[in-house]
Amino acid sequence: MEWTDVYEEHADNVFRFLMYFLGNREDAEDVTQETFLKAFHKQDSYKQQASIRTWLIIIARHQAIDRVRRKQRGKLLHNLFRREQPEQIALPEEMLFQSETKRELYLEIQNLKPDYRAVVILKGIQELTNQEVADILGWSEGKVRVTFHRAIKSLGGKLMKEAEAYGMV
Amino acid sequence: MEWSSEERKVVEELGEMPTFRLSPEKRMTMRGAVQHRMQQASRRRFTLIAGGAASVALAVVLTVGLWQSGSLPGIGGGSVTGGLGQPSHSQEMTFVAEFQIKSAPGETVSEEGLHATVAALKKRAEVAGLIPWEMQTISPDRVKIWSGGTFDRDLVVQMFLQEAKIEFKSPEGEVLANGRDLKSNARMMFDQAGQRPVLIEFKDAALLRDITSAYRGQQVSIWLDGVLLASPTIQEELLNGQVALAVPEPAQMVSLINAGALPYELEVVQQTAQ
Repeated sequence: MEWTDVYEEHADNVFRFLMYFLGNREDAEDVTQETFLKAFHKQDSYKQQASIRTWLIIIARHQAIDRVRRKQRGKLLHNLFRREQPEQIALPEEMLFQSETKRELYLEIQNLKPDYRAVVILKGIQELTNQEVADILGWSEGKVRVTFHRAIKSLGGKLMKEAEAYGMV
Repeated sequence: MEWSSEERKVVEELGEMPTFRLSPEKRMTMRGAVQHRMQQASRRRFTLIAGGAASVALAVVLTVGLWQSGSLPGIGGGSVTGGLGQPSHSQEMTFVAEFQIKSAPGETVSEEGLHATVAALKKRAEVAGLIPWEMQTISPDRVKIWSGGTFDRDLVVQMFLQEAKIEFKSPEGEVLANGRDLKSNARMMFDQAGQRPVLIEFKDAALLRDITSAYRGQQVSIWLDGVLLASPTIQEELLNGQVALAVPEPAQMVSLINAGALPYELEVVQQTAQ
């Protein structure tokens, strides 16, 4: 397994997942790099039954969750001393030329709880099969289907509310 | 499972969400960083094995020596003290080193030269996996660096002292250009054949134009610290100052060019790592 080739082939795919999971370019870039370093150090534990693509996303998701946790811990400490405005999620530039609905969706995905967010990205956006998503999240295929359904319901409801608020319905 | 019309719309929209891509620059620097850390890791593994082999060899020599001199416990009644194990080479360490900048005889180190040296040392510390805490200019030709991290001490010192002298030579061996003629924006490219040529740019496009027109159809050579890297035949006159080179270790070449050659030769005056 040539590592630079693995990087070439999968870097964009990992990055894409993280752009949706973390919601900003800076974190997504950092965690993409961490993912490949981690994967390299853990290559002995790579089991051939999963595809490399799946395996990398598993690592990326764990790294991303870790990062969010670390950030929140830092913020908690920070907020003890200073009250600040809640952080605004900025839209990445790729989203700026998209339809209103897509921009709304991107932001709402960030507000989903992590399990919903992961399944929406993997199944909804990256269009992986139930089996692949189940492998990545360590769930049964049934749980993938059900959770995906709930996540979509939640997104649908939020978009409706948004539309009502702006008087578009 | 049934979808409402609103939910179906969400699913459709999700399927058409934009795909993000790493910017080419980020992709490149990240690739370099990943590759560098991998090389570091495999080198570390290598030094550990080499260190292990050395201590085994040492143990064998000592055992034989002691046995011959009859001082092994049970033979001569003496006792062996002191560890034989070699310390591991790569570990979390604090690194302090002082460098003497060596100027040519009769010359003094210029202020710009000093700044360039400090900048080059800082960059190299980062490339070697050290995080520079502080650098101090002790005198106009002495620089001290405090740093730390997980690193291989010998490798770091070697990294600091490597000149990274890049030279372009004519077929007759005359130096036509060197690292100082290059911009520090070298990068790897991807060509159709899956090769990774390094694109380098001359500060002065006219210099490259003159070289390529004078030696058109001939073979020039490119050297790094006295090692031949490539000997391309010049096909045509290059006007825009850019040239792509196929070299054996493109990533390393890029980081060396961009980290910059040392403006002066350095000597380690004092160095501790613990």
